[in-house]
Amino acid sequence: MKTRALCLFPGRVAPGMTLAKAIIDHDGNTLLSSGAVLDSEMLDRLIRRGVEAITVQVVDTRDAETIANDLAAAEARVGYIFRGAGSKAREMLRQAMLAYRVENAK
Amino acid sequence: MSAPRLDDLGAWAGKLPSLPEVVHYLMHSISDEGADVDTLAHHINSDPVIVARLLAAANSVGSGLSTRIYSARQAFLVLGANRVVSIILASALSHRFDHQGSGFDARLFWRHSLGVAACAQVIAEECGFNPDMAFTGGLLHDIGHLLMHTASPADFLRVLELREADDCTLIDAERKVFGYDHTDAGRMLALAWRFPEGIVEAIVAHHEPDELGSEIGNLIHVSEVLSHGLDLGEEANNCVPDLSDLACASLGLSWPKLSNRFAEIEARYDGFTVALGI
Repeated sequence: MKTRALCLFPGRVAPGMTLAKAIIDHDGNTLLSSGAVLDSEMLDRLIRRGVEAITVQVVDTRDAETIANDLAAAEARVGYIFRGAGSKAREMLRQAMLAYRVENAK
Repeated sequence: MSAPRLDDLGAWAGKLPSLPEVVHYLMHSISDEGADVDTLAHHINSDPVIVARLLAAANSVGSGLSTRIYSARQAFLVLGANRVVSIILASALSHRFDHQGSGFDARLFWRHSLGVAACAQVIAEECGFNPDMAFTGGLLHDIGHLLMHTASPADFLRVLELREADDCTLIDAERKVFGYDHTDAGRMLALAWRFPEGIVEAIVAHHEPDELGSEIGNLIHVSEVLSHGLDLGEEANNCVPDLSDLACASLGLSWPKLSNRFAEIEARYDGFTVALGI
């Protein structure tokens, strides 16, 4: 089954979800490794440790056509919101945003 | 009738509902490392409305918790003082100022403010700046809109119409209609409300950071542009404003590096809007 990574705030994470990315605290310590299946105790501990976002695996049910449409829509939206000329820094942000959106839509 | 002059806005500041005392206290406690949980909880408990909103928001932030949060003190212990202070400031302000009408959409206003606050928090962590100060600066950076809308709803509506018609920036439309912009108005309000100096700087400098050279001004400027880039306000006609090369350089920002945290910023923003119900 194809999965994709989704970054969520802890209130949206439910026990039984699988971590797609290790959780590292502010001091650089690994609290949980990628692939761990979260139970309610782990989730409780993460919230108490001040973890603000958790990346989990979700099933990707999209077919190739939907993915292609998502990609085109993401590219078009970045193009639209970055309309008009701007500084070098704005252009670098546009490139970073486009790469991020394309990666997410894949 | 012409738009109210900037000098006259001070009188209008007194007509806005005043901020709860506990909000003043918390805003000034952000930079005070010595503030302890018991003192903070004691101040919060003096305002039952704030406590009720805190508990509602804290339980939605911590909906994965095995126990419910039932007191301000417990919210501090479970979620940490920084998160509780952020929740209280955001919920107190967004509930107190829920203007509607004459084109002003309070929900959109606070969603944008929370988007900038979420970006500011993460950029501050990357740059070694105080994330709580950054969050509050982001939350309050556009507060001048509230004053301009209160002083003259009709002129504020003209600003929105002009922006739509010309596809220009809001700040340019404000200058055409009012002769000044929301950073000038925000400064008047921030002084009337005795905001800490850093917050005043964030309000004044976020559109023209190069002229003021303020660190928090640079940070809020970059955060606002990033929040537009991430489409956090979900405005259909969103347009990313120009970004100061100098502000990015002085913060030492690298977009490819910061882009690793874009997903986290979106998750935090989602958490704030859910917690506050906006």
